[in-house]
Amino acid sequence: MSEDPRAASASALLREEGLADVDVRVAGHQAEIAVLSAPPHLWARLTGSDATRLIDGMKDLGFRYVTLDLDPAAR
Amino acid sequence: MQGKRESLVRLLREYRSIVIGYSGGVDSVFLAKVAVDVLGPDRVLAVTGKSDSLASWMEGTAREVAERFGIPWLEVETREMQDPRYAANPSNRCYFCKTELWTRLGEVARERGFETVADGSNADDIGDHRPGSIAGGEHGVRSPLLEAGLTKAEIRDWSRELGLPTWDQPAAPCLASRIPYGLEVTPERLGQIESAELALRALGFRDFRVRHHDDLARIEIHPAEIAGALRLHRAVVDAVRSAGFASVALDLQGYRRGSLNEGLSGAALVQLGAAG
Repeated sequence: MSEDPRAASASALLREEGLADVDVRVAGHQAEIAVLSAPPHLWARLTGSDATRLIDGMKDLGFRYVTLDLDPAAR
Repeated sequence: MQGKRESLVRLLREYRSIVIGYSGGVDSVFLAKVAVDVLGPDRVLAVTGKSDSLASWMEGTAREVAERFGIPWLEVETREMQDPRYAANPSNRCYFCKTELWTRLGEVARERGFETVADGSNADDIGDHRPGSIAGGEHGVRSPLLEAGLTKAEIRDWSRELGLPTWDQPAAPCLASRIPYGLEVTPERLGQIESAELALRALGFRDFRVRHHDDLARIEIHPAEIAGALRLHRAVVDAVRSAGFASVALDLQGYRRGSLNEGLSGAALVQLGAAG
């Protein structure tokens, strides 16, 4: 999955949004899902109204769905 | 709405006797109840197509409402899962399922002497991506709620007046609607979806979907319930994992109807039943 060029672009986008602690991986049978792994103190920010710009940016990269891993410790 | 109610009664009288495709959802329960009131129980048969894609709680609702309101009810097995064109899960999957359903219900109607087969499509269903409705047209299935112009909101209002417990039931399409096109529909996957959704319901969530992406479950939950999902994330993860998913991810946009059609071009959404 690390070869997906969108993952690097997504990481860059997260850094621009001040979310450098958030990792991203690509999932789904058509590689259509961005899965964000973030420490719990950032969860409210990722699900709040401020997240709209981030979601739009991720979709512009070609992801159909933008999601938050609910069990990042398992990775 | 009075004119629409009169239209529905008039249509039902014209049909004289009907077999109704009856899923236990808001629309078909309503249609069956009004049909029994208008035509009498001897001229109405509500038929539920039973397969792995029907959630067992829906089947339960179908049975209970039929018993309580005196609606003659029959269950028939449908075999869409054995059709490889259905199992491959193309964007017109519903066409193959409904073809099987209406073929079976047509047989029931012929064998038992019913003149008309009808479904619960309503006036709000026009314009959506609905390849299943093409199969209905091909089998001469009538849609009296749609023909009378009744909207979902009007059907809910009238259902409430009639005392139907389904009046405020959330929309509940079949379990296969949680699997993205192109990912095979199997009884195992449908079972995982049902089990995960029941577990989340038991945690108190009301308005959500578990989307099946093979080893990953993507939870779409109403924005108002997202904070609760984060608070209960440990329980949510355990509930969904126990249904057999390796990882559990919360969709940041929340629950919205038809999300699996998002991002697909018109050409990808095959409307014609023959293509496939």
